[in-house]
Amino acid sequence: MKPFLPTTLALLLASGSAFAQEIEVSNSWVSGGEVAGKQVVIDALKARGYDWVDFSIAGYENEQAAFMARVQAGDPPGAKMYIIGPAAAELAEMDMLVPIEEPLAASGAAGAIPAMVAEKMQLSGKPYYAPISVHGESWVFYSKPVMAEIGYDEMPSDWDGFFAMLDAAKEAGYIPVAFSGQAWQTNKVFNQILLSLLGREAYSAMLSEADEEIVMSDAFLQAVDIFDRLHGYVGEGTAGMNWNDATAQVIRDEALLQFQGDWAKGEFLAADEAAGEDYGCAVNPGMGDMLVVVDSFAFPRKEGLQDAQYALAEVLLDPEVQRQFNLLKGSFPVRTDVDMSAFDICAQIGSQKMAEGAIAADMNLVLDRVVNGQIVDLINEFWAAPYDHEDFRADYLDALTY
Amino acid sequence: MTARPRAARGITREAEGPRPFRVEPGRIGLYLFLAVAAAFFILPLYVMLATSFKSLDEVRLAQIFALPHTLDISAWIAAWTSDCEPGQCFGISAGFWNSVKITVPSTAISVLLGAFVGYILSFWRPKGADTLFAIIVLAGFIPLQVFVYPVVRAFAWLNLYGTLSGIVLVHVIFSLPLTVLLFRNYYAAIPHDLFQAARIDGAGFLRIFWSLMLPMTGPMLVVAGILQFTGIWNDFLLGLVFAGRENLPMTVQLNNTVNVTFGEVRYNVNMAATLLTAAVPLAAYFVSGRWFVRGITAGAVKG
Amino acid sequence: MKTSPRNGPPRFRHWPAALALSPVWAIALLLFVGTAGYTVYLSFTASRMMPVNEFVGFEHYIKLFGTRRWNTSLANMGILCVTYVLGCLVLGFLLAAALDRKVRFENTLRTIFLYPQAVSFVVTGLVWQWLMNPGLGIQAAVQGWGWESFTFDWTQHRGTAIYAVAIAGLWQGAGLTMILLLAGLRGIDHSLWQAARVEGIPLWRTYVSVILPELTPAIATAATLLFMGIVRTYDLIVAMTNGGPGSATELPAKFIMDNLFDRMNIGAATAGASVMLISVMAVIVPVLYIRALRKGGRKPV
Repeated sequence: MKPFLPTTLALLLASGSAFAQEIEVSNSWVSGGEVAGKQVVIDALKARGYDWVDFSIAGYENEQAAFMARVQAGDPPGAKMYIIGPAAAELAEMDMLVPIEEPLAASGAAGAIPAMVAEKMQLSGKPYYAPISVHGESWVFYSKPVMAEIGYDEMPSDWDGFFAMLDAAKEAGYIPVAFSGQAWQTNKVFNQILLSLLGREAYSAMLSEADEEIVMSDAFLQAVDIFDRLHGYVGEGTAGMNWNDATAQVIRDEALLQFQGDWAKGEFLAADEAAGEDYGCAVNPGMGDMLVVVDSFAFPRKEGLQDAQYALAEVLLDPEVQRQFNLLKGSFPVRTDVDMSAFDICAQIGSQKMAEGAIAADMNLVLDRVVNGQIVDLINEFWAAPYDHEDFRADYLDALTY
Repeated sequence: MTARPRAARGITREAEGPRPFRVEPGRIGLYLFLAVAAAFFILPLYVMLATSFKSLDEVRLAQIFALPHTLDISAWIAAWTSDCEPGQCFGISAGFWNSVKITVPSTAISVLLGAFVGYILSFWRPKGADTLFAIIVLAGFIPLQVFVYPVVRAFAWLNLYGTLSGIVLVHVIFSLPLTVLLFRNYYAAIPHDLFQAARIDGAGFLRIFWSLMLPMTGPMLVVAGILQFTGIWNDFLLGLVFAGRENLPMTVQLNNTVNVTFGEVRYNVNMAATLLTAAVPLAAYFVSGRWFVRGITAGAVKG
Repeated sequence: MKTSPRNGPPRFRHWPAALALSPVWAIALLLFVGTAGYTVYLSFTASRMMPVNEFVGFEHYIKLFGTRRWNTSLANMGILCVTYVLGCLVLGFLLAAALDRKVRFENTLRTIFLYPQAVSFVVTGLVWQWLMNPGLGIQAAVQGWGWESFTFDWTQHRGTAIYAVAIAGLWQGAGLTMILLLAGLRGIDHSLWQAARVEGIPLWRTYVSVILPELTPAIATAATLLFMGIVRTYDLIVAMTNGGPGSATELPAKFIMDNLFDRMNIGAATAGASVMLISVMAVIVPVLYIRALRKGGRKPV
């Protein structure tokens, strides 16, 4: 009787380590690589004498709903997965989170964490998030066979060259850009283009300071032009299409490339395609900065749980845990002092970009959820029905200062 | 007579409803309409079934109408048992008994309560009955999500938050708009004279409900039961928020299987998991046909 | 209580009923009215992730109606109220009437028409997305059979996408209507049919002028449930179009849900919910009130 197994198992474990303290962890890691990576953390935590009690709910809004209900009921879990940045700011302001200065110092991670991450893991001056992994978002994944077929051996380094390549693909009967119209995907593509034209400093300043001058710059308008120009190169039926259905077009060698985050590697892997052989990953044409998003955990304040929370924070910041975790999950470690030799070529490029400081924070790490949502809505409206680019720019400024 | 055997299942033989008009073109048109409608309804099910039996490589070909090359049942096995969570490795089967434990009492209680309240509102009409009915119906128009935070606080205060009784109570409460509406409108069609006669005969408040009204409620009990069972079985949000970690229903596992943002998507497993989750309500629909017969009310009320 | 119902003050006669109803009153007042009131209250506060008491007046409402997405979602609700509700009622009635004519395989057919109710929206929405994708679904298949000029790409255009959603909704909701009306049909007195037959009224007129009026309560119930469904529709949209293209298929419930949990903007979410609540009240309360005045309140909603 399988359903009874976990209870038995839990009883056995409980009697075996009678004093092991439990910490309940809310997260949304449920798919293959995510679960395998999570197991690394669980094992490392167990080695320190603490049990991870899993509360995993797929989908950010679902996990958030369950978590906030627990907070309202006065019984939050011991840790919750977050993207670093303003997501948990309100909880920190209300003193409902435990800062993690001690485990941060104990882990020796402080010197190995890039400046952008070190800044965004703090809320009101104190570190609250324990970051574990970085996803590079501004990749272009391309089919090597299609690329060879149309006579290219590497990604052009500027947008004009890029569109020339798309034209060649179109000519040869391929879908130049596998595009998926999910709102967050469309948004990422626009930001990817925007970053390449503005550069990381102007891009970050524009978001964090709602800088009007940068929005009104020519470079911004140029990004809108390029984004709009993509309409001529995407496949059929992109509205509402899931990103992995678009990735499948690249895997089937029907499409040349897809703008995508490094999670797409999981789809290639599942189809037995190898990075650097069957498909390639290139950073955006243009400046070559990388848009990143950082996974972490924060720790709701709870009576008598601080030791377990500190232990979990230390585990998450541990270089070997980060190495093994990210190998399985397809992302790369937050720490720059981790041995990257076992990682694939895309992760190595990403990690190196980060070490060089050639990264910019995804808008989720900078803007609060409300402004974020306004911008996502706007970009998708524009994609669905393009209109005057300068009007769009004005609307963008409105959304940014919403 | 084309479909004579059906009558054997009826309770009362004389109440068989419309006489089958034996005009042949009409019958052909009737079956043609039913066939076309059935095709429209089945189309998505066909795609789901076909996809669930394909291998992932086949799914990736994106030929949704193509039959699978081989009948690959590994997706069904993965959906039911082997989807992994740390410390447990079950797929949607993990939440199955929880769903049963939540759905059966919630359905039974909410249907009976709905019938009872509908009976009071329709026949006894104590002071303010219409206002109460209006409030209950209006509540049905508020998106459930809005209720979550206040009700969580109330339940935490009552020590019901995160318990099985808590989630059952939540379902019963939020079912009121549906069940009360169903039964009040159903009873509204029953002649008041019948009720008056019972009272003149001296039948009491509970007796009229239990011995007179409830037995006449047959088809509506089945319909309400079906709707409630389906709704509660498929509920995700309330179960997620109120049931507590020990009692999470099957739909939470289903969500964890199908709702993938970043990970690789296994459509075949998603389809199988969805159909497996739906299996119990589907069986209930099929079985409920036994009770879905004509004549109970007709005979009793107006005969 | 053995007193004759014709004597005694009405309040007295009804005390067991009133007593039995008191817990329901408590739920209705504390939970339904209380939560609704709290929701309206929060819509005037600066609540973001957590409820707070800082007042901001009508700010959320002003922003709400300045947002294209919200206005589109209201318009879409209007479109669905016509297409989806009417469609479900018509198709549901036809199916129920057809099944009631002693057809073979009634049980199987009824299950087929009803099964969409049982299957989670998260995945059926995706299947509809595939079916309506021009490169993947019905259009590609029909073109493959040789009808090259056939197009069915409603989900891809802002003007038509909401009707694609209505079709998927029809598929989902017609079964509910069917089963309610079937239960109603099964409750219709046999003698009505016989009388109609004896008088030689043609079949279609029997349905229109004899059967349909008898079904009024069932139709009212079905229509109310369908309207409730629209106000609460969330999953289907998320899985099928996720509100797109642009905001073309957004609905109020999705706006509220997004703001409540994803965007952490309780103020905006509760303002949206309040607008919905007030509009529904504006329609329903007069209806109930007039009925209560005219017919002694025993008519269905």
